[in-house]
Amino acid sequence: MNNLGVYIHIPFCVQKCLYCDFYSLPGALDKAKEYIDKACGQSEQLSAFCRDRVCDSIYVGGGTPSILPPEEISRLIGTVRRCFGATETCEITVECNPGTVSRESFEVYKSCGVNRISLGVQSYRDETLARIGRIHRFSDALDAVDAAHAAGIGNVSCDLMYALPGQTEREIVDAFERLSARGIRHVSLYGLKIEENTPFAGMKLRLPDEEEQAKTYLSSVALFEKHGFYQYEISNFAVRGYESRHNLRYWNREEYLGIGPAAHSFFDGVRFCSGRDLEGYLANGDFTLSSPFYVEKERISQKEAREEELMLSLRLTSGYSLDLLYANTANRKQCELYVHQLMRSGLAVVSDGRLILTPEGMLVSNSVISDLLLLYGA
Amino acid sequence: MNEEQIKREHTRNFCIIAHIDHGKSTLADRLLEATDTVAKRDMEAQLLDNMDLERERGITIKARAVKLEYNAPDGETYHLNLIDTPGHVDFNYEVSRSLNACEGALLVVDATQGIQAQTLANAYLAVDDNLEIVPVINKIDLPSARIEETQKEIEDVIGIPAIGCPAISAKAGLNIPDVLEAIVRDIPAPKGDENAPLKCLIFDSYYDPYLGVVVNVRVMDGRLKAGMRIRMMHTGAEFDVVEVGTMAPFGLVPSKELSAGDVGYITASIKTIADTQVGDTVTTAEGGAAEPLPGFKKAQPMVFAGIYPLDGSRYTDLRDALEKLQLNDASLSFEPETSVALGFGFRCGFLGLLHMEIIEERLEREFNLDLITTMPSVVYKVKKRGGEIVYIDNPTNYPSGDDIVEACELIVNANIITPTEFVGGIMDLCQDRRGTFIDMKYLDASRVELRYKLPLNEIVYDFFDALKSRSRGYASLDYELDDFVPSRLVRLDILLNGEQVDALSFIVHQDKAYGRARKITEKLKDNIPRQLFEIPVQAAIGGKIIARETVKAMRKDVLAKCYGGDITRKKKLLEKQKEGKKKMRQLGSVQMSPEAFMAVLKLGDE
Repeated sequence: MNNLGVYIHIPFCVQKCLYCDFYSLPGALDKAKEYIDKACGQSEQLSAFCRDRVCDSIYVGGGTPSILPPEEISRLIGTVRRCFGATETCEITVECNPGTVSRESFEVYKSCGVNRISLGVQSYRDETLARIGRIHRFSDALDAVDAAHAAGIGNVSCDLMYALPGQTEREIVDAFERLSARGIRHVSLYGLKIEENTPFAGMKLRLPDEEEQAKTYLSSVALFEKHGFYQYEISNFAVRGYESRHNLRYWNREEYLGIGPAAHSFFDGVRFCSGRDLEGYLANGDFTLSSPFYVEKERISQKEAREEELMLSLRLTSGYSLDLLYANTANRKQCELYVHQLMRSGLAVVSDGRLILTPEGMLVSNSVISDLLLLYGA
Repeated sequence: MNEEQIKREHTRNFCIIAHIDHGKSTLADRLLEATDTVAKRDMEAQLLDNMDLERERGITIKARAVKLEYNAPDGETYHLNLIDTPGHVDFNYEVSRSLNACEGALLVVDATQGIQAQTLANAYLAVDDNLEIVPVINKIDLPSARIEETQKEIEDVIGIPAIGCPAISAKAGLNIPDVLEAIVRDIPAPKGDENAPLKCLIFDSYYDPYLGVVVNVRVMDGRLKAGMRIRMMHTGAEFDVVEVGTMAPFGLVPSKELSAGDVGYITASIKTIADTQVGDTVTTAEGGAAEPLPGFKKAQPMVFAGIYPLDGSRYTDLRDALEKLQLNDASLSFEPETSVALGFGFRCGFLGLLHMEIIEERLEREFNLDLITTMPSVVYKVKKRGGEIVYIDNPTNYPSGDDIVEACELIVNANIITPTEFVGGIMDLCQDRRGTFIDMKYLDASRVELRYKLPLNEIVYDFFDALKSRSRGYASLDYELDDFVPSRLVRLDILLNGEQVDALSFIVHQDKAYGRARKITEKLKDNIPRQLFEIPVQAAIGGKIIARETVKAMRKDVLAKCYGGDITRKKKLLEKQKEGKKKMRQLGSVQMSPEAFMAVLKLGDE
């Protein structure tokens, strides 16, 4: 039986962060109950296509899921678990923002099966947090970790960001050391990227230059490793055994279904997503796989699948099979030369017949991957 | 007098010579109007220049001719054949052939600027050909016009009478009849014998898709009519004449016959323009002239550059386009060339830099091609060990130092006219460009003529622009080729990441090598985008590195978050990046956008 992941998008938040280009509507909470009803309905309809699969990861993301009444989240998770036949050990994550959670809400999560919390901490200094439009303070984050632990959820992950305006390298050290002292098990480290149509795109920001950003990333990787958080993906670090099963499925090209508007799916060899429109979502009735509600449908050809595998595997520290790389390239000699050059420059290593990017290599992974795609002769 | 003699007495063959922008084309337009050859409403601005490019730049590239019927006040009708001449140094030979077809020349001088370098160069050519020169002072409507001073300058500098010559404004249409009268009065009627063996001078030719090559000729002796078999005395090609006639502004006017003194055209189903070279003599295949007309030279390209399509798949389009241009331009040469860096292209030969620019622009404009052009280089003459003498037009083929007994480069006689305040700067420039001072002459209190011997190698290296910038655009330059002289030349190679990039090699004088090497390595460093790896940029002579820069490695190019499994967006971004790389030129292990590559190839010293 195939495994399946389910992602549920919660398009609500208190206020948009200045860098955020995800689909999320500040306020609009009055629609929460109606929304959860719809999401449950969508799960019922989609589950009819998944009888031969078992669900081993559920991820509730947003937006800020934790601003919904915990009972609504509980109702949703319960429905999804039932519909998709979640396994006993199914990883169930809820994304939370500090300042919107409490021990009580975590207890409700815990009781509906949630076993992993992903906290959007981002940085250490409250000044930096305010500058990027976050509503919490760093101390809220520590409280949230404690509250989750107290409620019996031991697997807490924290998101941190680098390359923020006015941020110092020290901030990541301060944040991480305090959080790891509280017993978190997983860290995601994201570089700020200025997206079009976000408030940041129109602002004059003092951002660290490429060199400083690279330095921060590399020193953070070293810091995390020192504390026993090994790197398993470009942005993800975990104590062994605490890697995010749901995130890995994206990189391993396993199947997942997205619930809610602006959610992406990869199912039965087809990638698709649902429209970025809450009203449209609430008005829609047909959520079966052939519904016009799902857009940008793209059946992945064998060739594309190979390219995807190359592109996604190289994000992971498990790397990509050299045999596969050489078997598929149009120009083997050039490809070997290129790999050799990557190794000589310290951007990659080869271990057990797999090409693995080093942290330096991960920093320039776009260039490496596009070079390799080109060598693939695609 | 017979009919032909009477016709000849009423014929005047003349051309107009002038420095750029002194009003040659505008005057030609006015003459066409004043003789009712073209109605004013039909007049396109500057009709004689019928290529777009010429019209935009206000320069005449290829000679054209037109016949005017002038009803003079004395009651007689005169046939005036106006032969237009190219006005640039690259086309000196074409100018000289056009002058040869005439008995006189109108020398147009701008009353606000006085004599300029090309005025002089062309006037000397006309004097050498024993042409009657009729000065015409133009632009007298401008407030800063100095009519009398300009007339005096012409008398002093060129040594021909000018006091009382026509003073006009071609633009405003002032005093145009004076010019027509001066043509009839001062320029002699053509001589020649219609009963002697046929001798026609080819002064221009162009390809017409329906007629084949249309040859523009001046008949010196004899008669020419349809059905005759003719021979080109230098190329030896023979043809049967299909049609002869005269040139009107909007096309050809067939006539029964052309005879001594006439200017007209021949069509003879000629397929390639190479058979009808400018300066060649047309005679009859049987009983033809014993000797050709003097002065023939084969068009010799002096400046060479590699031209490559930006998009490698358009190689055959580029070849077709060059072939089409060559139909009308025998002085353009090209042969296939392969560059490791640039792929498949052509090594093209040009008369000079302007000629090269014109060809590039026409390829891009008329054939919609995007091009990469390598640095222009000139011809070098190299005597190799063992006595063999080779002419090198591509730096890649330059022999290694050990094989060279003697290397020679082309020297030109350069003639620069400038306002006095820029003399110092221009002399510095000439000095810097390895010039040898010959002399300096004051044309008047405010203007100086400088003469230098300069290597052509230095002229193609951005000399025009440097001259312009040092004289705020006022200095003018003309030059003629002199000879090959021995010189200490070296080939400078550029290495990226330790690998030589063929398209970037160039020949340079030893004393200049270090400075150029530093400049080009710096420029490369600034233009090569950061790569995954650190890239050393080196300049070397015969394996010895003389300059080095480093392009630092790229540090960060990563997509972090992949929210909610949106793989498609990531894929698109990488796909786009990959497509961008496809367009990159691979220089060894270095990827470079064509734009960056062109920035490097583009010269620019100051």
